[in-house]
Amino acid sequence: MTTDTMTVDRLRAIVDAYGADPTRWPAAERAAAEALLADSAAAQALVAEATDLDAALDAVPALQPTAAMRTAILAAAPRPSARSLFAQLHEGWSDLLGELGGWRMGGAVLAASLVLGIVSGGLLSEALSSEIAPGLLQLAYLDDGEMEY
Amino acid sequence: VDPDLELVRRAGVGDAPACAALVDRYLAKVTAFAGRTLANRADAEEVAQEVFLRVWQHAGSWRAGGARFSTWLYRVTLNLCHDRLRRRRETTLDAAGDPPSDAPQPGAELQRNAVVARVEAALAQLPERQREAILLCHYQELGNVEAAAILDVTVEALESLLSRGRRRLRQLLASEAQDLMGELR
Repeated sequence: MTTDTMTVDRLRAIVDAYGADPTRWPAAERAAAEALLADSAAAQALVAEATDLDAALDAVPALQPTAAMRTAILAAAPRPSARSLFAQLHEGWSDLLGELGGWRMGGAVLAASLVLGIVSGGLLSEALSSEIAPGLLQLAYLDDGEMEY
Repeated sequence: VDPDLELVRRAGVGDAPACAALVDRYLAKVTAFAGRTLANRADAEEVAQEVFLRVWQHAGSWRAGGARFSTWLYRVTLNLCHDRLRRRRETTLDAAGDPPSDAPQPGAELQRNAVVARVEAALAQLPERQREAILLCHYQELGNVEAAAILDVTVEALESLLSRGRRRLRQLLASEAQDLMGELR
């Protein structure tokens, strides 16, 4: 009996090599082999014969890695190099500039930010010295342990 | 396309989550494969750790277009296991196999361990290449193309190794097949 290009003889060779579980059969032939298996009693008998050996093999448990192994392996894993950190910074900087409209627009925006920072810093320090300073002085008095209230 | 390519590339530049993901994807597989190949826990654990040291050494220069990462990984594991087996053969004090535990076991567990021991003994009697073909295809569940690439043979040669290996296993286990199956069920 055949299904497409699959024959009972070829299925026998597949089962002899890969066992009874279709997930282990060659990917290129699996669909045709499964189609034959669905239709052929001879094919079903072949597969049934192979299940015992599969079950015996499956009884052998796998060695499991310990948590300590995982920790030790990850402790030896690569760390980001200075070069790759620089590359990440460069990438982030390029993205920011791109969002600001490129080097020219980015430069103009940064220059404006700088001027704004200087001006607002000057105004703020003047305001602090004239208005907030008395308040700060009171706070300093409060911290004086020898003063009585 | 190699499904591990991006992860390996990121691990190579020190991306910690990528390194962890790579370990989580392959550590159990490498440990199990080394464990079955060497039949010795301590040796298998050392091999698994050595495999990942090689991964860390090569990840930064890994390039697409050659072997798949997983194929390379299993080849490295197999080569390291071969080195251990060779050294074992060269030493007079053979460290092969873990000593059996003396701890008392419940009946069913004892019976199951006896089955496992018999199957392991049968596997150990196979010629090396036949055993490795079965380990890769049955236990590691690799496709025939990748398993053939790891063993550096054609797919037809792999199929021949598998068929001869399974036939020999059936012969070795035939005398006790009924007992084995009864105990497994």
